[in-house]
Amino acid sequence: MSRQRRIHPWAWWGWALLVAAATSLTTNPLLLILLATAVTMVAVVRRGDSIWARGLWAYYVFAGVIIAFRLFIHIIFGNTSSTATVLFTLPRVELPEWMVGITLGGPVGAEQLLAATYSAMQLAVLIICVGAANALANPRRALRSVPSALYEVSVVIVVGMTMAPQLVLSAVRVRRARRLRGRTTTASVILPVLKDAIERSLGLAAGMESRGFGSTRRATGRRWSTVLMVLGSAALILGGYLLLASGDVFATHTRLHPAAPWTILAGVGCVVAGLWASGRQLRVTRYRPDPWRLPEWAVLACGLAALLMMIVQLRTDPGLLRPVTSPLGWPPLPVLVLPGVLAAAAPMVIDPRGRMPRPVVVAR
Amino acid sequence: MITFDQVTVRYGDRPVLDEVSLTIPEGDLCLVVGRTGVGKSTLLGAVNGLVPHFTGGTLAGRVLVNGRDTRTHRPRDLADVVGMVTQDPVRSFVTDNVEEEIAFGMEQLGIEPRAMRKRVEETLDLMGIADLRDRTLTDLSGGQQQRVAIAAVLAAQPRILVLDEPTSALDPTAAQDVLSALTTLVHEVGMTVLLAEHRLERVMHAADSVLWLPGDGSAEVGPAAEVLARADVHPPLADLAVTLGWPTVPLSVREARRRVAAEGITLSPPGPLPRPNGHTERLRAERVTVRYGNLTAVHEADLSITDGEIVALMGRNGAGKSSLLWALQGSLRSTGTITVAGVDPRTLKPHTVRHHVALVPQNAGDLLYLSTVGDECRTADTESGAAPGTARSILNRLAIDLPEEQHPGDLSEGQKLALVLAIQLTPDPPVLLLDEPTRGLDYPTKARLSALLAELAAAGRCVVVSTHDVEFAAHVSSRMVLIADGEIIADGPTRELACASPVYAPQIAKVFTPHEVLTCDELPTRLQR
Repeated sequence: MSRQRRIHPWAWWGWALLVAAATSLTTNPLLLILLATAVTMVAVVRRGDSIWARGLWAYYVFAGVIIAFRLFIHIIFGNTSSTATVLFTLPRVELPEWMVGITLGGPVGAEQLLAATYSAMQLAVLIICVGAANALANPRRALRSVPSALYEVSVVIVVGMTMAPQLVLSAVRVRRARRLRGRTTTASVILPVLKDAIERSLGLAAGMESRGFGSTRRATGRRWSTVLMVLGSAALILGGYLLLASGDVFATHTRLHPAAPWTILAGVGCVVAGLWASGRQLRVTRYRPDPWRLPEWAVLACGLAALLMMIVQLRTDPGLLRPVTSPLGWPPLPVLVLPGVLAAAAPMVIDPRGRMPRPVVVAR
Repeated sequence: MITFDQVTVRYGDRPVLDEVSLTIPEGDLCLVVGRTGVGKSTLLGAVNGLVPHFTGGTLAGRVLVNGRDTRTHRPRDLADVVGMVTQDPVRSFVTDNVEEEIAFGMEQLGIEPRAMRKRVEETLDLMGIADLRDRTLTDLSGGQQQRVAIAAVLAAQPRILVLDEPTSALDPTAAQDVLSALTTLVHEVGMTVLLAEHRLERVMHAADSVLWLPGDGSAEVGPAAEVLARADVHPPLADLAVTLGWPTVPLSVREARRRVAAEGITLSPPGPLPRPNGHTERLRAERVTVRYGNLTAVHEADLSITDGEIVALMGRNGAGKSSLLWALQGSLRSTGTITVAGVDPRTLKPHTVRHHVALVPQNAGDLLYLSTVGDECRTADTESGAAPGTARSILNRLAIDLPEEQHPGDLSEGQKLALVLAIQLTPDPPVLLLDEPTRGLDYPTKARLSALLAELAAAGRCVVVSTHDVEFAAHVSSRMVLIADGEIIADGPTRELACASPVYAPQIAKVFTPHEVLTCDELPTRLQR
């Protein structure tokens, strides 16, 4: 019996985050709808049958709620008197003197409402990107392929994900048992459930201990990896600050702080070296890990293409990406970005037919 | 292979093991026996160093496992020598899928990937679970989970396998599957197996030696037949040996049959079946059906029980026994008619149902939440509106001595069961339902429970016990109901049903078949030499 080879979970996350980055550069509703369609098509066609894949609809509900909430807030609070096209007028509530600057009710302008819709749509598509990644990449499998320095942390998270549903089951069981004694109080349910959880954890810890968890970790060289990680994180934070302080990163007119790229580069270097040094202390092997090959690179490249086309458009004619709503009008379609949207949808057809490969040593 | 040298283990002041010295040779299947609380789990834990590295306490002396001292080797350093399977396999599962669970131990030991792949396949075949490889662990039945748990420690290719009550939660057939997998390991692979079990009748025929813990801190190892003849745990065949005056215990039904044949022992025909002494119908169920979504757990069950009856409800793991009991109690949604002591329990409030029907669930401890035994008893009195001291006096009648101030969490399984039984009997319900009460009970406690249930039945209650324990069912019940796949497939006197079934026959019945006999108690009056 062979297992179908799947795309590496981190490749899906990379693709989804790149498409999300592209999304963050535009509020053009046509583009947003196209991007959402592309991401949804990929997610629906390529998701597996795990429990995570079945949760995709929840993200759409969430996205819808966000749009509705944004519009609701705008209609209630976001009104100015200087509007060209008045859709309807809400009764205005007079607020006391000290709440100056906040208006409640009043005329609702079509231009402002449209602008609010555009920005809400942008947020909704970002959420759909995350939802798609979650449906496509089983988080359990994703955690199985983290750098070996983070191996123990990932095992702990995986165990936690297993324990949560078991805790619910034991709560149901105890509640049912408690009803046999007539009445149910909170303490009478919580105490046995907690006791159960603690006993379960102890049993699991004993089981993991006697199965050799952590037996290959050596204590030597731990200090160096810690120093490297701390230095790297500090550099990354500093670099991030410098980058964000210089304004819109991709636009033509911004001037990056000269030290920003170098600080970030040094930070990444330190973190990678730290992870590598820390991983060397652990000598675990992995059973049938997901490989990273051509299809994975292709999926990443698709996401990158979407982002690049967006940046090209931004540098040539940024106006098309952020259409004005005043005066009212049909938003323009930036033709240059369309190949990028197609690229975002391309992972639909990247299908690595083949068997799961043999296991490989990932840390030594 | 395993050497204990002057080993003393203490938690606090009291030594659990006191200067124990013993050796278990390679390739032996050694059975650890003893009553509840004599230190079986402590002894097993000491083999791979969980005692005292993980549990605390102090250990004096030396434990050598395959030449390694547990003093200098942590349990994780012994993972490639000792495989440990705990009582409840579900609690020790780390992953959620069979194949990954089997590979987990090897990943920790850094075993070379090609070897790892090969060993997973070999282990799947060895335990006969290759068809389960992609399944989710929680979807498996109890027997399958137990075999996966064994496979998961076997994959690291230890030389020693330590198991704590591996068959206690399993139905007779699943227990046989697990045991035959273990015997394969001993016979074909040369594994040393150390196994603690209360239900000796299930495992003793495979044992080479027996390690008996009498309870005073000492330990005695020797050939199974000799040690069992002296030990204070009496599986049915040991009772038979005592009744027939044999110096050693026959380890298998086959051996007992040979001895019986050699001595020319036959039995007189049994007396007429005792008439059910009840007149009043206490419990009536018609076409009771329980559904969970698409799954039908109980399908149109019909049952009528009169006072004075003890009914044993038997069937495979997951056949619907628990669902039927919970439906009869009224708190599980069901269709059909249920009448308990004249009323439908589903229409009553929880605190009123208690006066008509009591249920002792599988995890009896779930009912306990206060900090002392005394508090639990007093709360039970107020909950059921009984006179103060009712629960306590019932508890005393169970002849189990429980100090008022003891914490319920520190009680043994038998003591917990007694306390919960006392609490549930406080409102004096005419119907008593017990779900799998014998798990983790030793023979004397089981005998006391049988006597108690008989007493309750004689006082006019009706009792339904669901159990996997065929010996207990043979001892206690007058009537047997077999349930398979949610349907009641047989309902009749225990003697007829148990003696006719290859799975549910107690060992004494198997020894004397085709004569119909259930327990050793009947033998003295019926023996003919």
